Amino acid sequence: MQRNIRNFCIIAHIDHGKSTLADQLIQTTGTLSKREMVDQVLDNMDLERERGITIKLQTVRLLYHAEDGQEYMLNLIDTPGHVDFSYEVSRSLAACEGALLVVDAVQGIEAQTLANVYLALEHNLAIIPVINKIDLPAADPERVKREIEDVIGIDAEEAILCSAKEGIGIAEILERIVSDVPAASGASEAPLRALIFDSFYDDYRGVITYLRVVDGSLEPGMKVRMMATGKEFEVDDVGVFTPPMLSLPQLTAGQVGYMAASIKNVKDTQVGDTITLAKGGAKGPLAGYKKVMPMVFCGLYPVDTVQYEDLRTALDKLQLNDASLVYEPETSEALGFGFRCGFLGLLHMEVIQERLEREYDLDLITTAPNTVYQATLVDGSVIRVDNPALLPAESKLESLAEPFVKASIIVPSDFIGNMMELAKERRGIFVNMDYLDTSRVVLTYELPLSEILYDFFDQLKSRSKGYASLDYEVVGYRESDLQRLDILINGEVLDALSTIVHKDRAYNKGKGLVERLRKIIPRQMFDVPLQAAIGNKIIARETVKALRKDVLSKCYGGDISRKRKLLEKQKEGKKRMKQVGSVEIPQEAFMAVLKVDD
Amino acid sequence: MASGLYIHVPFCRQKCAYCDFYSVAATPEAIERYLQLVVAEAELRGQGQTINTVFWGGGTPSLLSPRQISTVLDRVSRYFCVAQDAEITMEANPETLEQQGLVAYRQAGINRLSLGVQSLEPGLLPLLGRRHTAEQAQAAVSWAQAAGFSSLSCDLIYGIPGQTLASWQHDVQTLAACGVPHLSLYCLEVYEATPLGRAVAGGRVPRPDDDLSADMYDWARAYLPEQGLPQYEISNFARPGWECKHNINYWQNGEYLGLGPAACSYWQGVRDCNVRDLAAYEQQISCGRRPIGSSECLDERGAAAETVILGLRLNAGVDGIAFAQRFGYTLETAFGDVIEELLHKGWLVRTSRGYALAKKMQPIANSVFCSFLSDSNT
Repeated sequence: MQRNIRNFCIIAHIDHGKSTLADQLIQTTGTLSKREMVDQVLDNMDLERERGITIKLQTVRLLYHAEDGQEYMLNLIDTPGHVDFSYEVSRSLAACEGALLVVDAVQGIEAQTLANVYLALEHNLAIIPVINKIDLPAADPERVKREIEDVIGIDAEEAILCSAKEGIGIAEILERIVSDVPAASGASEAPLRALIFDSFYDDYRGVITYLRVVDGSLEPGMKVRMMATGKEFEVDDVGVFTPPMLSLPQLTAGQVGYMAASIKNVKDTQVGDTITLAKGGAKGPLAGYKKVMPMVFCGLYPVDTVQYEDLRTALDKLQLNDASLVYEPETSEALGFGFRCGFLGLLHMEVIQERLEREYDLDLITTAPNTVYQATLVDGSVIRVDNPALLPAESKLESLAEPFVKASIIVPSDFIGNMMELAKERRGIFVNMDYLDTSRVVLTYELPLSEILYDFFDQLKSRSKGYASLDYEVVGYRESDLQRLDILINGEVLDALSTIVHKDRAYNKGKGLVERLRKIIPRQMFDVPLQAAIGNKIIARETVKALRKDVLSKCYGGDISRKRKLLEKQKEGKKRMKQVGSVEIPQEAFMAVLKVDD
Repeated sequence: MASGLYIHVPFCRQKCAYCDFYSVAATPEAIERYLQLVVAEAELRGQGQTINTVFWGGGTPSLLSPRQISTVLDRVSRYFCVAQDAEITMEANPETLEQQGLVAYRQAGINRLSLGVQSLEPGLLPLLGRRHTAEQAQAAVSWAQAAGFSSLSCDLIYGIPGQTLASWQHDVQTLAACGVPHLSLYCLEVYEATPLGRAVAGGRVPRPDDDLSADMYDWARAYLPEQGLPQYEISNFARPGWECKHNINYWQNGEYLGLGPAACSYWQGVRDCNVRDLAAYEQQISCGRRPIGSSECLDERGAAAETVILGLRLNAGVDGIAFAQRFGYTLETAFGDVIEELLHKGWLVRTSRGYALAKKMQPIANSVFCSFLSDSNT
C-alpha cells in the first residue's frame, strides 16, 4: 500500500488560488460531492473564510483512480499563506514528499512564494510548478515559466497550465502528483514513529493530534509515548480527514491522519514531537521543529473588569488550538488586570483578538503592539522587555537592543524608488537588489521589526499600486538609540499608551499621538490636557476642550420614550469607555499609536 | 393635574431637510379622509376625560382649513371634556398663512399660534428645505398679531451650517422687537436619515460646529431675559404668563393623549405611540382598533426617573413636593445618592421646592439626565 501513498502540500501566495485548487482536487476525486462542498472547505474557520486566508492547518485524504488503473491515496496538507505563519508552513512541509507550486499567471512569483519554495527545497520535496488562472485575459504563462526558472532555478518546462476556477488542468495535476511525488517513505516494519504537525482540542475527545506515520503503524488500544514530554497515552481512535474525521482500524507507514487518546492537555502533545510505542519504542525521535518565539506583544484587558476570568478562560481555550499564542497576567495602573500576550505577528494578533471578541463575546481593550526589547542594565545584566511601561529608567540602562528582520520585497522596477524611500523612512539598511527579469526586482533590506509592525505592509502596497510583496524573517538583536515615549492624560501617565521609539522619531511620534488622541477622546465636562513626554520633558501638548453642547433640545410631540432611549444609548456608550481617573477614554484610543504618521 | 391632547397632522407640502417627523404629501382627499379617522380615533379613545390643552402638531397643521379645524374640534369635544379656558395651539408654516385665514383660525377656536420661522437668513432657509422667505415669516408674525393671536410663539433654529453668530443675533433680536411673547430656540440636530444628514455625511454640507452653537445659545439665554423673555425651559423663553401650558405638562410628566399617526400618549402609566404609516393607521381604525405601534408600561422607578429628567428641563426644576405627592416617597429617598453627588459637583442646585439644573449644565444636561437612569434600564 505504502507505494500508493502520496503526501503533498500546496505552496502559493495569498490570492493565487490555492483554496480553489484544493476544492477542485477534492471534488474531482469525488471525496466530497458538489452538494457537500461548502466553498473552500479547507478554510473552515469563519474568520478564514472572511479574510480569504488560511490560518490553521487542515488536511484531507483524497482517493484517486489513476490512469494506470491503480488507486492512490493522496494526502493534501494545507499550508498557511501569510508571513506570520511561516512557522506553520515548515511544519506541514515536514510531513510531505512533494509540493504543488502554484503561481498566478498574471502576477508571477511573489515574495511569499519564494520563501516557501526555499523551505520546500530545504525539505527535499519534489516540486510541481502549476501556473494558475490561465483563463484571465492578462495571463502570461511563458513569462511566469521563465521567472520560475530564473528565480527559483527549477525546470518549468513541464509546468502545468491550469485554471482552478474553470477546472482546467486538474486531471493533469492529479496524474503528475502520482508520477512526480515520491511514494511515502518510511519503514513499515520498524517501531512506530509518527510526527505531530498540528493538534486541536475537542471538548469530548480531548486533544486530537494531526500526524504523519513515518515508521511502523498506529492503531487503537496501543500504548504510546510522546518522545519529548515522556507522557504516555492509550490510543482511542485513529483515522483520516475526508475532510470530516473517518475512523480507520489503523494508520500505516506513510499515512497522514489523526489520533485521539483522551489527552486533556495540549501541552502534552507538542507540535514537532515524535509519537512512538510506550514499550519497545524507537531509539531516536524524528527531526522536529525549533520552537518559535513570539515577537509581537500587546496587552489585552477586559473593558469591564468582571470579565477578567472569562478572558483567562478564553485564552486557555484558544491556546489549546494554537500553541504559538503565549500570555501571562499583567496589571496596568490605567486598565487594571489583564494579560500581556505574545503573537507570531500582527495578523496573528488580530485574528486572536477577533476570535476572543466574536467566539467568547468579550469586550476588550487592546494596547498597541510592540516587539520584545533587550535591555542591558548598568550592572551588566540583560533583561527582556515585552511591555514598554516596564522599561527601566534611563539611569539604569546601559543600552537597548531591538529585533531586526531581513525583508525581501519583490516589486516591479518602476517602484524601486518608492520602496527605497519607504525603507529609508523605516530605518532600513540596504542589503541587496536582484533583477528577477527585466521588469521586476527583489530588494533585500534589514529593518527593525518594530518599523514593519504597524502599517509597513499597507504602505508597501499603496506605494507600489498593490504590486509589491513582502516576506521577512527575524535575524537577531541590534543596539538602537531608543527611548520611552509616555503619554499623560489630565496630568497622569497612562501606562498603556507608553511606547518605545527611536530618538530621532520621538518628537514627531509624540506630536502625532497627542493630535490623534485629541480627535479620538470625546469632549468631557472639563478641559483635558494631553501631553507627550520623554522622561520628565514634555515634548508635545494638545487639549480636549470641555464639552459645551450635549442636550436633546426638542419635545418630539411628547415622544418621551424616544428621548429616554436616546439617553439610555448614550449611557451605554459611556459604559463601553474606560474610566481612567476622571477621564472617559474610548477603546480605540489605546490603538491610536498605530495610526500615527510621523 | 392638567392633561393634554395632541393631534398629529401628518401632511407637508414639502419635507424639510432636517426633519424626521412623520409626514406625507397632502391631497385634499387624503386630508378629508384623515380627519374622519382622527375623529374615529377620538371616539375609540374618549371617555369624557378632562382636557386642559390641545396641540395641533405636525407635519403642517396649517394645511387644514379653519373649517376643518373647527369641525374636528367640535366633534372631538363630544368624546372629551375640553375645558372652557383650554389653551389650543396650532403649529403653522409661514408660507401656508394668509391674513384672512388667520382670523378664521382664531374663530375656529385656535388661541395660540406656533410659527415655524426657523431662520430669517435668506441663505439658510433653502438649506433647511423651508419653502418660505424671511419676508413671509415676518409678514406672518404681523398678520397673526393683527388677527388677535396675543399668544404667539416662534421657533428658531441655531447651529445651522453657514449660520454666523451675527446672523443668529439678528434673528432673535428681530422677533423680540416684534413683541412676540414666546420663543422656542432649537439647536439643529442632524439625523442620518434626513436629506441634511446625508449631505453632511457626504461632506457636501459642513457639520455644525458645537462651539459656535454653544456661543449662540449662551448669547440668547443672556439676551432674551433682558428683553422681558426669561428662559423657562432649556429651549424655551416667554414673557411671564405666556409659557406653553401644553409643553409644561410634558415636562411635569403629566398625562396626555395623542391622536393621529405617530402620535404618542401617556395615560395611566402607559406610554404608547401610534403606528407611523397613514395606511396602517387607517386600517386599524377602520377595524375599530386603536392603532398602537409601540407601547410600554413604565414601572414606578422608571416613571420617577422620567419625572426628574423632564422636570430638570424646566428652569423651575423638578418639584419635590409634587413628586412626593405623586409617588408617596421623596426625591431624596429615590435618588439621594445621585442628587448628593450632583449637588457636590455643582451640576444641580436646590430650589425652594426641589432641585434645578445649574445654569452652566443646561446646554450639556444629558450627563445629568443619564445619572438618573438606573442601570437595569439600560
